[in-house]
Amino acid sequence: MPLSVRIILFGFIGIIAGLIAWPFTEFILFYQASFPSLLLFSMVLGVIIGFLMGGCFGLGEGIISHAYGRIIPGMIMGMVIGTVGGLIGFVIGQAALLLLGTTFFNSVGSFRRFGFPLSKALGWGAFGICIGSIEGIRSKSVNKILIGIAGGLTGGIIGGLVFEYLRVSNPENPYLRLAGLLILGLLIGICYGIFENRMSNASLYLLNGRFKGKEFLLNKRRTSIGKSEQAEIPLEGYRRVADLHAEIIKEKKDYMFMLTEKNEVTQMVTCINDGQTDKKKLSDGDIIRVGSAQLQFRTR
Amino acid sequence: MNRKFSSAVLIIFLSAFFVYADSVTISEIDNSSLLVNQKIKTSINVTDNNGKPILELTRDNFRIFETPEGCVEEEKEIIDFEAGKNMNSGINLLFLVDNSGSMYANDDGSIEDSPDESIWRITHAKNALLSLIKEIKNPKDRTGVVTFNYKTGNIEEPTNKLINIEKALNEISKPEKGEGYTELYECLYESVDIIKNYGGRKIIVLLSDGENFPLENNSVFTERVGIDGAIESARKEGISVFTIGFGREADAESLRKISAGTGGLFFWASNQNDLEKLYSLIREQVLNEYYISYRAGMEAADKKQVRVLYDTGGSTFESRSFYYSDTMFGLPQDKINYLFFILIPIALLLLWLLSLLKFEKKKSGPSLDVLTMNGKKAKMPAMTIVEGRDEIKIGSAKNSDMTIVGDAKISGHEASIKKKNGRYTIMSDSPTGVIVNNRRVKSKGLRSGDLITIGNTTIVFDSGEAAVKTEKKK
Repeated sequence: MPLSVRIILFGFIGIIAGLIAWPFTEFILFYQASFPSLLLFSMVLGVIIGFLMGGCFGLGEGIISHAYGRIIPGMIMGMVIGTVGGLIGFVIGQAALLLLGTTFFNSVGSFRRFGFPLSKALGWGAFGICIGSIEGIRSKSVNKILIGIAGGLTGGIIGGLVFEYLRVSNPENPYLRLAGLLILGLLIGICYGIFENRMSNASLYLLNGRFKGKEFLLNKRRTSIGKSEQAEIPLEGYRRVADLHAEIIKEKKDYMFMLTEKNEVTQMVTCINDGQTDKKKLSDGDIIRVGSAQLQFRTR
Repeated sequence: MNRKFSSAVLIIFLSAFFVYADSVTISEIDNSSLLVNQKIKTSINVTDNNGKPILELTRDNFRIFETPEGCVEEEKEIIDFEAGKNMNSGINLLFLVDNSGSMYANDDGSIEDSPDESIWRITHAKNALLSLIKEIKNPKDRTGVVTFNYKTGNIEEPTNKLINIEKALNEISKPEKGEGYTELYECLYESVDIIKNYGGRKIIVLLSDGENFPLENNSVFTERVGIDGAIESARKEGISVFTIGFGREADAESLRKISAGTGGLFFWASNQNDLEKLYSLIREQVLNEYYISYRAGMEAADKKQVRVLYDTGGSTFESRSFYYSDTMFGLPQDKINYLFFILIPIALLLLWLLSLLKFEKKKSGPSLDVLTMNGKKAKMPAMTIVEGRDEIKIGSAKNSDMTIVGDAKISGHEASIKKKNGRYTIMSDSPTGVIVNNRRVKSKGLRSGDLITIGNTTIVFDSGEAAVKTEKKK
């Protein structure tokens, strides 16, 4: 699977996230009058959207990477962070509304056309940041969090602008709201994928076996390789691979390969460029053998 | 003589009728904070039977009610109450002055085309404005002027540099032949545009002596909004339009409609003295408006009506207005369409389908896959190694079993792959050997995944085995 397909898949996850969030949004909108205040109403709206979309994005990464062990923890983490994201997004949106309304836009007409969608888009940007960082927080990777912030902010602001303009242009049309949510999700997903692609300096390309052709981005400080589902690069279905066989550690610009499970068997089946290795600094094109799997290290 | 007398009586009677009792007007409803803190801010104008603003009222004198379209009326608690708020924050006053041909007649319209400037209506209007300007001391007050006939002119945007207003007023000149029309509605609409971006309370004071008399095929106004469009635009921006009808030919009906629709008031004037008094009075009224805010209801509706009840202790007076409640969250549908929730299982289904996209390789026979050529991803299809094939020659020569074209560094015969002892082995045809897994060798038994580098081309050898079933550890 080429790396660019990952971007498309993230976009697809985003669309699904929007699909899930929309019916609940319409439901809450219908009961608008029963809320004691507008503030609470819009907060609840943000939280529900965050919870649902966050959960979807959270489990989506696990599905795309076929790391099935990550799906449930990812979803739970996504729900929590998404809820927080919905709250933060709402607060920032309101603050921006207050600021823009009182300082920049004196005309009611221009406030409605520009000030309102802009403030809300900023709120969605903040929301996107939280959604984007779900994967990074789950895998405790600072680099991934940065990727998520960049991608989520971009996708959130652009998607948020589209969503808000669609809402304002035709307030009675629920299907426009659906379109807006789908586009928001799609953009967050795609922007996340694009930033992930751009901000990863190296990758491992699997040359043989079950997942031949799969390319793994190395964007964490420590990337684990092994048979276990918890490994970042899961090599299930390959022979003589230990649960957590080896690691690639990123130090500044260098990538170090390290054998983590040291025993007679693993030492024999772990080679770089056909030489048995415990530890080595990697160069572009190095062929890493782990058990029956061979991976090519690529710098991008 | 008789006619003049009776019309004078009529005018006095009408004016008196209009300002007979205490009156209360909702002059502005500001909904800009609606989505921020759910507050609706109103400006209330309370005057006595002489038009003088009534001061020193408290929140106990007022009650406020809101009726969303299609719902019942509900009384709302007053959150903020402030008297004379505008005096501190300053107001934006735009004087819209009729500059059509009839303004160059005398006050009662009996003398037209007189060379004596001093008797012209327009001169009296100018003088009244000049004397009002002298009253404005607050630097936060901004004043502007716009004249109109077939189009707007002498535009001086709201400013506190009153010398600019004087200058603009002195530049007012008689319209040429063919310019003397009265595009009242369109020019009012334009004035709204001029004043709307200024912060704070916004008032337009419109002075006209005639009726709307549009120029046919007026190139200035390609799209016309008409009186309703002009009123609507002022209302949306919270701009109150006070209208003054100068002389008997003034179109009182339209002027009243404009002021009623925007929270302003209508007045008659027949001479410079009237104008001076009115300009001063209007300003005084606005400066003494009461600011009342309340919390809007949660009902989702397009329009909400607001009613203010003013209690003097003896009698009550009321005023009604409305505002557009922001439906920026969107208007909900009439009833919940539970069918929408079908999307949930559909979405979950899609997620499940996604998880099936394994991109897994199925078990197949051994093959040679050209991975890259000259640094770029190769587009050659994988070559399956047919069982029983003795030897596979690799090179650029056409008679090779695997011909590699496009790589200048590859010679005719670079290497061959032979099956030896059940294992595919690569043997180099060149004296320098062949590179396998970045290591130069003469020959090597190939393992699945071995990367052969020939020239600038990389080829992957795949033995064909796919997934290996692993025993689940207990």
